[in-house]
Amino acid sequence: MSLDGRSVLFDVELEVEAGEIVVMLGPSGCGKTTLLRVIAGLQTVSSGGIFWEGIDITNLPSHKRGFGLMFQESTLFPHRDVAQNVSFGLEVAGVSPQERSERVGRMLALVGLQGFENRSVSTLSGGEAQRVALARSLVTSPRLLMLDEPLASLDRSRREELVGEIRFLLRRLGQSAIHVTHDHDEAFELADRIAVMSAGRILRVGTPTEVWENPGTPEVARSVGHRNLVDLDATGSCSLGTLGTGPGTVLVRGDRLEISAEGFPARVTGLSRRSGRLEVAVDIGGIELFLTTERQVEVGEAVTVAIREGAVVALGLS
Amino acid sequence: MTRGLRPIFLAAVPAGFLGIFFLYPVISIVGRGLSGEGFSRLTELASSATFRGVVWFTFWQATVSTCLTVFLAFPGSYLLARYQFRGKALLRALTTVPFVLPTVVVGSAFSALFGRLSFDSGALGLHHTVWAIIGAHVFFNIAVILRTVGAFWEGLDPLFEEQAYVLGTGKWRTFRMVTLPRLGPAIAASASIVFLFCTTSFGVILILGGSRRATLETEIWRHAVWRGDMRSATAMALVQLMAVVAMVVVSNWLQRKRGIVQRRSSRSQPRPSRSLLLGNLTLLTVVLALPILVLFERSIAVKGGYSFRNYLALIHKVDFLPVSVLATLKNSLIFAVIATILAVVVGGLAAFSIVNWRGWWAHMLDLGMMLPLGVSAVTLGFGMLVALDQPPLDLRTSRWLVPVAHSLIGVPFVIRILLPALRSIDNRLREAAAVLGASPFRVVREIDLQIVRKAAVVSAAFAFAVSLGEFGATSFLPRHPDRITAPVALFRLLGTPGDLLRGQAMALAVVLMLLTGTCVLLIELFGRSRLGNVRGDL
Repeated sequence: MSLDGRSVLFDVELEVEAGEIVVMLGPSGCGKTTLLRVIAGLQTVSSGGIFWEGIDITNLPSHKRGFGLMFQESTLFPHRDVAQNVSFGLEVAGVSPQERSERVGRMLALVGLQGFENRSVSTLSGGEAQRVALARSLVTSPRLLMLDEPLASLDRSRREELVGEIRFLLRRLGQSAIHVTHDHDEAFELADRIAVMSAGRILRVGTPTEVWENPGTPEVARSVGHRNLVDLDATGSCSLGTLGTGPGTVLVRGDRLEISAEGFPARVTGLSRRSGRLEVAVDIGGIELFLTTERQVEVGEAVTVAIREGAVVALGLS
Repeated sequence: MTRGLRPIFLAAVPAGFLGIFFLYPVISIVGRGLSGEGFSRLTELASSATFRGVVWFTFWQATVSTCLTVFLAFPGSYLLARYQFRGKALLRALTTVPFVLPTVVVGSAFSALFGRLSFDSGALGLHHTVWAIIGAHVFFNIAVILRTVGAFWEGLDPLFEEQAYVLGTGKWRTFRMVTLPRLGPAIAASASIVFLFCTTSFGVILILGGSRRATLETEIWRHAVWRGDMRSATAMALVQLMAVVAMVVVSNWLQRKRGIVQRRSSRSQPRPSRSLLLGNLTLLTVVLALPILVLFERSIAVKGGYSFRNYLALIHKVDFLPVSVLATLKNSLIFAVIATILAVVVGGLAAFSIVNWRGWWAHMLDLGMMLPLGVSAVTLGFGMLVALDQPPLDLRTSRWLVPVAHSLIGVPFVIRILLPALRSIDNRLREAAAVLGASPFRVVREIDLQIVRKAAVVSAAFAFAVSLGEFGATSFLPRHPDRITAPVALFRLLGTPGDLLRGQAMALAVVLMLLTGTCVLLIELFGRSRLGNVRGDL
């Protein structure tokens, strides 16, 4: 589809199963937000259609689609308090006041905000505001919930806390969802299936395991967090040996590398501690690879690195 | 985006209102003025020295008034922009009161003031002097500069000035070289509005200028109402129109330039020095409070002391008026209520259409709805008199004519207040509501109307005050003698020979002042909340 004269999405096809959480992973500007807005009905497609359970809803206006959308930044209604915000969708649907306050109360408890009913939205912290927004979207039991990088504006620890809660909630409610993010850790934690997107196209769809173990192309590999991409020469060789049949790029999986007694001679070139794990960068014959280890090593130390079976994954062209 | 709600239908109401009650009358004047005999009268006028003198005086007094207003507003703008102190909001509110006062009230106040200062039409003769007029203009318009420039100045990051200090310039040079240029757009925009108001000033000139001072406005009135010389009046109205259109275009262009959003400084403001605060208060007291106090003093002054007799006398009928003054107040209030409802509905629909409808049509509607403000009440009243005299639009004797005219003048204020409020609504709030299931109508009801509720009250208060004090257009419109409005009654009372009814005139002026002043208080009370999406507060 085109936006302001530029084509933003090309040949996008996506299917979501009931109760499934699909995560769209991709860098900013790749069209993920546009896709969500199109599905929600806030923007129109220039070609193609949107189908729900086989019915064409392409021309159905937003407010009749029954989808939920959670924005990146808090869009709580400033003139309503927390409970009134959450009950908005129920009000519009004509639910009775008693049932409304019941459901609102339950939902607020589910997101960990019991007792917040009468709070003014301007007094909420970022994390609390996003929870209210989540409650507001979920309380109407939408057919499909879409989350547009809702955690991007939160700080790290809040984000990690909320990711777990979102997953728990969605699972518990059996809610189908499309979650959009550029953070691959977040994607792997939430997803039943991941769709990797770039520049308006979907590059790869699969379960987290599938996508991790077999990214398919270097771009997808980078998107999901792989860093050990090795270029091969015309004969398919590099300093690690002949890893392929011809020129191209292969992935050397970090989780199949180990510092052990036997293997390739290497030198430690960098260390970083990530959430308690020790991540090590080693130089093997001019190639830099990353792996994790529990051994205590130091920068500059000479070690040997074993490449276990299944470490090398072939990748097609970008 | 409100798909489904057709802005074009909404826009039809205000556009139609504007078309029938404003454009048609104005075009009638233009038509007559440019017709064969009208055109010849025009050329006659152009060669008349008296007429040229009138035009010259019109622009001369406006220029001096504007310059003086801008100059006198600077200390206050500086204070409001850069300092925080207790009672700041009150001060701001009080400076706005004069702006909303009826012109006849201000005319009375300055007449009283200069009468007190000099010995009425004695050797000093300040009573009918140009300085009384200019003083009254400053009184009226200082609020425009104070608020526009003050608000703009407040938003300017003082980083630039501090940078200049570090580089070695002193306070005055920094002001001249750094601050003043940055304030340029705001000053230009607000000054052009003040200039427009001064050239189209009517009540003030009539009351304070006497028979010797005339501007285009008063001459149009004199020729149309007193002499019955429609040809000359039409020709002059045409000249007036052309000048005003030019000024509105320039003013609009200047206002667009002002729209550069500068980085807002979030730094807390210091307290002002004693001398700065006192100096400002003195200045503002002299300029603003003194005339009002004198007015009040004159209203309770009777031979041999003070009493409230003049106020009581308002209940009784006097020979010079067809009804008692109290009855005229009643008329004004009724007209004001009707005019307010009309103005808010028409203005609201217009503002809503402008916000939701992209494209040059929206801009045309925006500009069009603002024209009544500039085209001057006199031209409007005159136009209605001339145009609406044949069925099916023979409204000359209709009781609706006056409120309609008043609402036309109130609409620009309503739009100017509602537009920013509507624009401040983050469109994502509307989208969130739509996704949650709200139909387009529901979205407007739940989001737009709720958030601009306070702005709507403010705009209604403005329209009400404008209608209460309206004089220029009303003095043209024929109506049943019983339906005379309070400002017109005040003018007549002031014009009676001798001091017989002067006390009553002053009392009426005070009553009108209190009524419009209450509106301002409402405006200030409601106008101060920050609205928009919650992001701004987090």
